[in-house]
Amino acid sequence: MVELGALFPMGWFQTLCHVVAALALPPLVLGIINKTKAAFAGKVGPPVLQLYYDLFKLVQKRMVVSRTTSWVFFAGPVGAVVVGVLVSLLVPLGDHRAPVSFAGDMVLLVALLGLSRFLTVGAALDTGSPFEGMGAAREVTFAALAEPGLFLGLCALVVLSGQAALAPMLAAASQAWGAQAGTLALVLLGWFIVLLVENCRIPFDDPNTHLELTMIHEVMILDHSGPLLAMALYGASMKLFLLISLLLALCLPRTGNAPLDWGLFLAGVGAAAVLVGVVESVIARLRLPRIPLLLVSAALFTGFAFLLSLVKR
Amino acid sequence: MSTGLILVLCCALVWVLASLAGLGGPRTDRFSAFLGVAASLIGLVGCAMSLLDGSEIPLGVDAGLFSARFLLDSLSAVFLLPTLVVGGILQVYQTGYLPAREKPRDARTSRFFFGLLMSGIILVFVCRSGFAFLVAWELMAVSAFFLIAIEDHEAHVRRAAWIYLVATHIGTAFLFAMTALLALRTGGTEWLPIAGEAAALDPVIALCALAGFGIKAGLLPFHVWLPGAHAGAPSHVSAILSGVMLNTGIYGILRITGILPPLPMAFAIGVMCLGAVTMVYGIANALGQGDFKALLAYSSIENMGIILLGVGMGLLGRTAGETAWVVFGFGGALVHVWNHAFFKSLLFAIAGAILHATGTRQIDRLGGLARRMPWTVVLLGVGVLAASGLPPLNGFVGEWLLYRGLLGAGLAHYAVVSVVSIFALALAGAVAAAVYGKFFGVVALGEPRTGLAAHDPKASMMLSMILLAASCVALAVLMPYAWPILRGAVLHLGRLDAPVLPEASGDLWKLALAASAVWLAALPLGLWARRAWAARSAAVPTWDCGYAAASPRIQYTGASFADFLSRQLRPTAPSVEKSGALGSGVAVQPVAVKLRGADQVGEWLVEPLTRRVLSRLQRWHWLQHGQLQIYLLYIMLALVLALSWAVVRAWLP
Repeated sequence: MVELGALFPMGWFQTLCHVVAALALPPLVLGIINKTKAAFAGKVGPPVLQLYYDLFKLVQKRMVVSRTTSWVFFAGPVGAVVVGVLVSLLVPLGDHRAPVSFAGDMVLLVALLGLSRFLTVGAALDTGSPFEGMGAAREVTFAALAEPGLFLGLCALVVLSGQAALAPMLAAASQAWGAQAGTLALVLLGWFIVLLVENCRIPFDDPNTHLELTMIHEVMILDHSGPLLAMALYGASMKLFLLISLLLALCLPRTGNAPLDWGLFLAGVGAAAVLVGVVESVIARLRLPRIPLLLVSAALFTGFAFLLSLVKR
Repeated sequence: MSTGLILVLCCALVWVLASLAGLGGPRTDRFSAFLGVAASLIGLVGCAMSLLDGSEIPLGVDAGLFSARFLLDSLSAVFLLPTLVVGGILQVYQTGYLPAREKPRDARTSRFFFGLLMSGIILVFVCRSGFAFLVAWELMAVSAFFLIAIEDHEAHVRRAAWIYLVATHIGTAFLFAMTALLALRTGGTEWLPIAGEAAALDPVIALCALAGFGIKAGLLPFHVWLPGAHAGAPSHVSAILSGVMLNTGIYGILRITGILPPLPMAFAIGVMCLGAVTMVYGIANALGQGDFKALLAYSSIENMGIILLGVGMGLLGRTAGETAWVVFGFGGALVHVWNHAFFKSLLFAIAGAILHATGTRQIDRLGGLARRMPWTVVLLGVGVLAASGLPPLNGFVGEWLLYRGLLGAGLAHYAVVSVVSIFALALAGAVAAAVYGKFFGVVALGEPRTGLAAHDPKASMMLSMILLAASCVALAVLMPYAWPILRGAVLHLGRLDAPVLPEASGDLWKLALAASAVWLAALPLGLWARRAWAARSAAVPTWDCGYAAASPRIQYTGASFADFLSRQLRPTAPSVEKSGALGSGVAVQPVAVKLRGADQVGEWLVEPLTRRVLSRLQRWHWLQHGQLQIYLLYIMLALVLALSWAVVRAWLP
């Protein structure tokens, strides 16, 4: 048996801050995105805290559950939250450390996200609705095309930093902007595309569309209601927040002063949310057959980043 | 004394007894099942003893060219463990799947050849001399042929069985060549690690092994026999073929490369690339299958590719003297051998239960089994998560070990082959999730698409499925305890003396904790879900945009689910072909959409090649006429020629 202390080297206070931030902040990101989009559209828009209000309202409601469904229908949203909590332990946040860090932890992270996706797809197919089946088919297709890009970027960072564990790898990479700006910029670009597709944002999917035919993620949770819907929404926001944190760890400056780092991190999260909002406001959703091409270009960006990292090694 | 080896040989013998007892029909059926389980238990005790005391004392029968030598080392034990567990469990399963009372003829064939197959496989793992190995190999290969052909009243089963028989014998031909070359290299028939420098013959021997054993493991482009045979065979046979017999191919490659001195770099890299191509091709084809057993068969090809990637990595590490690669490559391959043995036999066992209950193998005719076969579907959930390589199940652990090796030492020293492997692993992993999402989602969830009846299977089948699923969960949660068992095998394969197993076990603990965390979280949340279910609003239909009179026919089918991704993977995978046009103008014509599961490599490479070879061979057809006496004459002529050659050679300088 391995000692628990050896597995979790972070102090309890930092771990607590980390977990609280990872649990509390995610809905805020969506609030900022929606506020930005509203500003672009010349509207006031919903309050920044709207998702918190929605979640609070939803957990108090009773559920309407289709008679077609089985236990898998519950496993989707529940899995999204459980995976969100576990993944949050692997991703470095404000103080650039993660409670759990080991060589190859990124693979666990991606696999956990895969588990969440698998369960969501299952829950969607469990309703027997053709719309939800359609969303599920699109989701697995985009995921399959996004995954190579994610891993190629990871390879580039491993070569660049000489580290195979996420937190030290990102720490070393973020210090290398002087020498390897090209590599890092390409990885950031590729991963930003992956972030947009993984979280079903424009140009891949429009979370605010009114037509089931055009949705991906929203259509998969169409039949969920009450606490289950709350869980699905919360899980999705956690995923967005954690992937944003991953990108931020690559580009935020480090001061070594914990409160200052946390402040920078929070500002970074806000800026990233605004950026996503801007992207959603200035470009339209792509036609479905074009989406795979954009995903391939994400893989190409990270692939070139990998080649650059080899050349510069 | 080599008690462990003696127990394993006894185990093979008891399996033969079990197969003989199976000939007795309904009266001795239970006894046969009991003997099979007992045999497995004896063998497991033998493996445990050998792993614990670590002594490797050979047993041999000396008779010149025909001398047989048996040895139970850690590598054999690592392969024997899943073989014996899965074999014993499936022996129980088949009493329910193919009851002796209802189908006496099929049951008799099945029990008899299943026992022989098991003893053949067990002997393959412990035979360490050329001739005896080939005998055991043929015992296994031929028993498998009769098992595949059990339902031979169907034309496609006969065809699949014949293709298998031809393929396996082409493999055996390579193995004959390999054995002869190996005898030339070592000067004896025994397979002992060759000390000293590498020779020019080594790569040739290794290539013969790769081809001969690769056919058995279903590696590209030798995989063509596999999908048909696995789909056509009764499900317990598919399970043993896929979960256990394919492993003999991997074992053979490991064994032969293990006794040769370190092989050239190019060979190891070639093996890795072959693994990468096999896995992507296998899983892309699995996506396009409409028959769920063919889907599982293609997924086996994928998993063999993953294992081969690990083998190549280990070989490369051995040549380059990179310990981490040896450990993560061979270690990951062996862990995946275990995992695949359990989850694939579980999935085939469940496929059998579904086939038994509904009578169809077509994914698109099923649906909604979760409410009619509830326990089977829970186990299916375990199986599909494991086979998709997702935590909290065992399939993930082996893949993680490979990633760990590739990301660590791999990228540092062999960046290009590592990144190609990582790319393939990532793509194959994501497509595997889509494949099993399709299988699980379309077969088990939603509404039934046709009026086929369905129910959970009987106790013996259920028990075996539960045991297999429990093994999958246990391997995921307890892998840190299982990892040291592989130690001896990895050290042997890497020819490492020092007891080195780097930091992996600490990381395996973290994976195990993550898996346990998911399982522990599932418990209270499941209870909450039960309560929430009870308190839900009155059951209503699915929303469907407010359309309440939906027919189950409008649900997404497996074909429509796979269509989009299949089109993206088109060069490697069969695509959905629409026959019939949508029609021009306003009126919409009915469209028939048909999933064509054609195998591109089979269709474009193997079939034309076979056809050409056959037409060339036509001109020798007159030699074959079915007269037994003349065949005997051929044998005598061949013997006379061989003897005269021996005499002439003695005369020659």
